[in-house]
Amino acid sequence: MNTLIKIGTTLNLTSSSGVLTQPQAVIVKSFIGGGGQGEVYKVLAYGKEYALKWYFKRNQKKALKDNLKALIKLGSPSENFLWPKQLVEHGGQFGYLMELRQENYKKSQKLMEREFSLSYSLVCNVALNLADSFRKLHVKGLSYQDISWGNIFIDPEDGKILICDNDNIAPHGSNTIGISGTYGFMAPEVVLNEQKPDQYSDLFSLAILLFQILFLEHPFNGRRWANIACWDDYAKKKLYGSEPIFIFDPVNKENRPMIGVQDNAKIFWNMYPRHIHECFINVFTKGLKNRENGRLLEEDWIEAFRVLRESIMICPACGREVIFKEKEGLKCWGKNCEAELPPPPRLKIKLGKRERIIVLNPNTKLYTYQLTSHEPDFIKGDIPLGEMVQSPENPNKWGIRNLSKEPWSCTRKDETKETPPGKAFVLNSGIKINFKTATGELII
Amino acid sequence: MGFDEIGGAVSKRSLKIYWLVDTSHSMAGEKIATVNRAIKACIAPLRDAAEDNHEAKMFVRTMKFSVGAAWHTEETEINDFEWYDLSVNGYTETGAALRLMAKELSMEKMGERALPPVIILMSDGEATDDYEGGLKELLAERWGQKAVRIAIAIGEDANITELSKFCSNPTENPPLVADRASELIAFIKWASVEVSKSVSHSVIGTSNSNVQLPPHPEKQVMIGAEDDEDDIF
Repeated sequence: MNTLIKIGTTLNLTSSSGVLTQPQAVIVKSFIGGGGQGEVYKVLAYGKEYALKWYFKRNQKKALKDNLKALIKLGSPSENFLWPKQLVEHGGQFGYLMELRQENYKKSQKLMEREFSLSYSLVCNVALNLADSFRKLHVKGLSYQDISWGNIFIDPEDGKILICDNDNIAPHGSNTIGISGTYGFMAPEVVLNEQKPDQYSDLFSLAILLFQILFLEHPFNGRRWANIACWDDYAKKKLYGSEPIFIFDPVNKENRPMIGVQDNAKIFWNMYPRHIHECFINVFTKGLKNRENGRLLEEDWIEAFRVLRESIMICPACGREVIFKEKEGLKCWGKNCEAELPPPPRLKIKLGKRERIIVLNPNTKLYTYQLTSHEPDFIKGDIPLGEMVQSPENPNKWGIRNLSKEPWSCTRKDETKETPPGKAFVLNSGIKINFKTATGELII
Repeated sequence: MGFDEIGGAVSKRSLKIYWLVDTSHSMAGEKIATVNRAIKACIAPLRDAAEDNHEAKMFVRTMKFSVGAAWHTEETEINDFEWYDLSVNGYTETGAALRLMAKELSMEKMGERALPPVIILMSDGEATDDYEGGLKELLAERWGQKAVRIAIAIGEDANITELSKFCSNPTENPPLVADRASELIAFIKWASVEVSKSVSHSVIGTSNSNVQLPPHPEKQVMIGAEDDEDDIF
């Protein structure tokens, strides 16, 4: 096979810069894949395997090299990025080293093929990880510029993600590499070539990615898509650029999903609560034109998916996850179950003016963001301060263990008791908890 | 427990790739052997490309033309495709090939929803029949106009003017002229694999065509390889 580098070649480096100890030689072990800009190889450098991206001749440009150097110096915004680690040069050409992608991460578009499925909690994990990663990238003043299926990998077991192809990342407002993105993910102004990709277009692309992860259909591929015979660039420019219409636009209903062609959209749309719908409606109506105010920030997505996660209950009959909604006759969605569900026990937490309803399942945890502050950082905010526990003597007796460093005080029938760190209070009806920074009340 | 029991996979559009190969006498020997080898070498990367694309279902088909034109393989989904070597005989009836191609691109045969088909015409000479008539029939079909039409000239005797007329966008993407076996392989792979990727998953550019094609394969010296030893056609 014709590749840029012959397998087995040892690259004696003429120059190398980055965070790794200076490698003298890189041995090219195997070919991993090719893309629009270059090829990726598995290589050996000082006893450890890495991925090496090597560019086509037409992309061996100073601007790209300078950008890579800057990215390496800046360092990865989070562990979810396969960030460039070392710039390597050989024979007047260059490439860069990064960590290899582990096998447990699957290509994200396999979701659309239904090769793997996520549950509500895994959808939340994926969405929270994505939003958190891009938030951390954006607060460094950078923009990704090409969010799309090909660059995102998902671990279907735990919802962790990996973001690849990070060499196009550039400061917000800079487009030195000249990438525009991938049709179907680009914001309308980028499709129409009115704007180069930046943080605002990233926010649009992120919403498109999230929409497809949740609803397994494209937000603009409705009836109009189905009626187009030839899906060429003209058609794409129209549907994604000059005349995008959201398939669930509450006002303009002309582009609803077509029955028999886009069935997923409606099926999965109905699986999610109103607050999630509203996020997408906002981006895909107001946000089409209003870049600054119509596109949700990652913090907004993090809050939306935290709320979703708090409303997951487990069907006692079959074990499926169901979204709890107040004031509704609840039923399990499982095809062979459809059990009527009694309202689950919930904890109402008040933190300042903010009130949250947290469904209590055997594995529920109380997180830092729920009890102390509106921590936008998903990782820091997700440090647990409490967890559901079962009494060792009586399995029917449940409580919440204090994992924080401060004692909580619990009041029931005018009697107040302290729950020191490491101990649990029992979930008896009428109990009210003072978490010091927040207050809680059990709803049964 | 995930959502695997509800909904289905997303709807796909067909992406059809056609190889139209000149099998006249002058193609005998290394040229036809190289074409056979190149198409075979496209199968694995095309399968990879199809696997990475949830929006398209990829089909391939080969036509041979010499004395008249005939389909050499059935329209086959890429995962089931097997190659049978082409052999040579007779003239270069490119006009007949284009007429046969036109029939394949009718609205009925292309179905309700598809991606622009990719038609790769390969020839080392010039038509011995009514080329203009055939081209006219092809372009009379709506899908013929929408198709990504790429021409590969094999060797210096190919009629470039004639092949240019076939190309969708001869200014931006004129016929690729292959003087060496290695070039021919690279061009066939580019036209099949890279072009099909961009048809279904294009990245925006400034082209006015209905499909923005990727940059042409460039002459690149493989790092760590011996000198290029292949013959000139």
